[in-house]
Amino acid sequence: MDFKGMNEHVLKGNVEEVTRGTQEMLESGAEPLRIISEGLIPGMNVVGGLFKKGEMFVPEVMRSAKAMSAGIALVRPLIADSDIPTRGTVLMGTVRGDLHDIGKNLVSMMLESQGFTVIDLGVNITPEQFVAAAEKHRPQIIGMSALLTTTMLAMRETIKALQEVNLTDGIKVMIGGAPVTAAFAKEIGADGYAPDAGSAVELCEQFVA
Amino acid sequence: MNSWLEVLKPEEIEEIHAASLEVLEDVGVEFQLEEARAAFQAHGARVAGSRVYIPRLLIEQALTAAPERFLLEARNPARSVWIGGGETVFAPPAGCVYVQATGTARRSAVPADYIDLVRLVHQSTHYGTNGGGIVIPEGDFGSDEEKFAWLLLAGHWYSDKPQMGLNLGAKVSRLALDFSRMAFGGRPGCRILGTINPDSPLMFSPEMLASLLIYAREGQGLIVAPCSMAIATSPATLAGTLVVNNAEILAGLTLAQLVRPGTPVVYGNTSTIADMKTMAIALGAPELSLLVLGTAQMARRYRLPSRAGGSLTDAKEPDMQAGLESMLSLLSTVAGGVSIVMHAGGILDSFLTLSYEKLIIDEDTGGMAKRFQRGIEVNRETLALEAIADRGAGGNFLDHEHTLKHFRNEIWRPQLSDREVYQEGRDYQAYTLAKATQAWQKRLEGYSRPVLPEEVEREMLDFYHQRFGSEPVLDV
Ligand code: B12
Repeated sequence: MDFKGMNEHVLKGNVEEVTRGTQEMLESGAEPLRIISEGLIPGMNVVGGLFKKGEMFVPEVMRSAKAMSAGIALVRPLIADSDIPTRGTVLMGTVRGDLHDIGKNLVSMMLESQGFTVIDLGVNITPEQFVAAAEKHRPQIIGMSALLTTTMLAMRETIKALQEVNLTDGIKVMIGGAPVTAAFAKEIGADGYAPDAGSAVELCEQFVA
Repeated sequence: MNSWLEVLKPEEIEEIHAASLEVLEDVGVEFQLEEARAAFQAHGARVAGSRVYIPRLLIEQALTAAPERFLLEARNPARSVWIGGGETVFAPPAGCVYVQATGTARRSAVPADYIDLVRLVHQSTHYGTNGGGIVIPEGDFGSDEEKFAWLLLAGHWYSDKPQMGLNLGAKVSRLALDFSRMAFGGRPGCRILGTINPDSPLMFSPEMLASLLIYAREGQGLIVAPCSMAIATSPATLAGTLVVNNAEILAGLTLAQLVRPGTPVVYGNTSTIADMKTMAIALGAPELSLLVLGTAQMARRYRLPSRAGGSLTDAKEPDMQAGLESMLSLLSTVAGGVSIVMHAGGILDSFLTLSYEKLIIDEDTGGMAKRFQRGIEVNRETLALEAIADRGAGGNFLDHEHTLKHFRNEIWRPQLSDREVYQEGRDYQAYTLAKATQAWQKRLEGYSRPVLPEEVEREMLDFYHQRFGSEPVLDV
């Protein structure tokens, strides 16, 4: 299989073919990094474009992302972590007391499909858990989601907790969720707010630029 | 006449039922509270970790125990309403974050909004119930708990209609029951109706379960209502979504009946689809209306009252989109024979915003829908043969006895729709909306509070003071 063929299979979201192709390429001695940057990522870039235009939809994007990840998983053991192409690591979570996760999942998926590495902590994440995960993973960006007016306040606490251990110095914090506003983000000292997944990606691009 | 609009054939209802039982037995439901799992286990359900596998026998027993209808009592008994049994009761919105009025942009709700909304809903003949956190206001409360206590207190304070509950874990649920107990002066009966949301697919959070147990133990009314979004938190197919939702509702209902057989439980469902591009919840979608109709049918299959639908839209203004989506959803809700309808007016922006104008506009939406559902009555009298013979060819019926006898009942008249001739110079962009504005403003002016007995008011205020160390702000 050649890189073009791989791109096609990523676009179609064909996990088996991408797996087979990646193995084949590795066996025939292709350079691992090139498999990722020329075989897998360009396919996903096409997917991103079609999604923007409204020609592909979320379930299809996820299928493609899964196919790409299957390829990356095979290549990963062969290269140093630091060599894996990523535009940045984003730590995502829904804050304490809140179980709404559809929006957060969508933001994570979009970020992943656009080349960010996302560590998704899940729902009901306490300030302490955010701090611990930030210390462990040292992300460039932390994203918090809240859908309840009551749990929005946990965002403020989380930022405070991050500040206390000086984690906000090197890390950008973004927040979102239906009742969250740009004004609120400013008020609690977040670095950014995005109203939807598309603008969340743009925000992250700005953060790492 | 008076048959319900239905989308499922009887055998399809049975297929969904059978599929849900299979899910309950084989896939199981996650109950994230030990007490809830213990109740199931004690009755022979298999429990592994936090999963409960519910045998069909337990479900069938629970269904026999749950009442087909119940009286949701108001502190003013004349305002009590039957939930189930064929009537459709409208309830106000719940949980809105923003309000919007008189053509200005949305803003965060404040306590004064809540009071005004309770006053408006109190006077409306459209809404059968009141209270229960129509909006969740921003405000200077010592704690969230105090805020919810205030909402509950204000609901009783400003209206003697039946009250909707508030459920966000044990503390708030207890407050809901405490205030209603005080308002009723110890009178027995079902005096509050709260909602339990499973976290689709097939999960119940510890908070919701704690609330469920508290309500059930006191025999108070519960709506078990998933809000899944097909393609995200339930299958893409509407049939598959109904299977998951049905399993969730039956699971919640069964727990309530295990705790206290006979607990009034409403078969609820507010599920719809997720938009395939934005994943946003789409309330204006035709698929929502189909699920509403399916839900009402499933509830009838189980001889349970139902909750679904509303006057729902994703539009951000009371505009064209709001009008057409709200009508589709409310017409389906009413024509489908749903028993109680939360969000039956005022909703904009997928539950986020409450529009004062739309609160009034939807009285017309509901009026139209209810008239539609009433259908065409055909009998000797309505066939009007005598009147036809009397006036013969070329006559008119305007002043005929038959007309005078029937027209007011037969014909429904909107309060807002424009049926006048074209008026030069009238601003038609703003005309009907301005009528809605006038309507709610006038109603607020005409409001008078249905006071509670003095000792009851004292008791409620003392309770609040003791609990929170402050006086509730009640006349803003
Ligand atoms: C679906 C839903 C649920 C589902 C959640 C399922 C799930 N797995 O997430 C269920 C039924 C479980 C649920 C439960 C409850 N819910 Co709810 N829920 C909703 C609903 C209808 C839609 C939310 C949604 O998924 N939207 C679709 C996604 C794609 O949009 P989104 O989340 O806004 O995300 C987008 C953006 O906001 C942004 N974004 C999101 N996160 C982030 C993060 C970052 C970093 C960035 C940059 C951007 C970003 O990008 C996303 C993609 O474009 C909303 C109403 C609404 N219109 O928002 C109510 C709503 C949020 N819920 C509400 C309530 C009250 C509850 C309950 C308390 C109800 C109850 N009494 O049972 C419980 C609380 C449970 C808990 N502890 O969290 C209220 C909140 C009221 C308030 N004043 O706070 C709302 C507004 C509805 C209402 N009017 O009652 N809910």
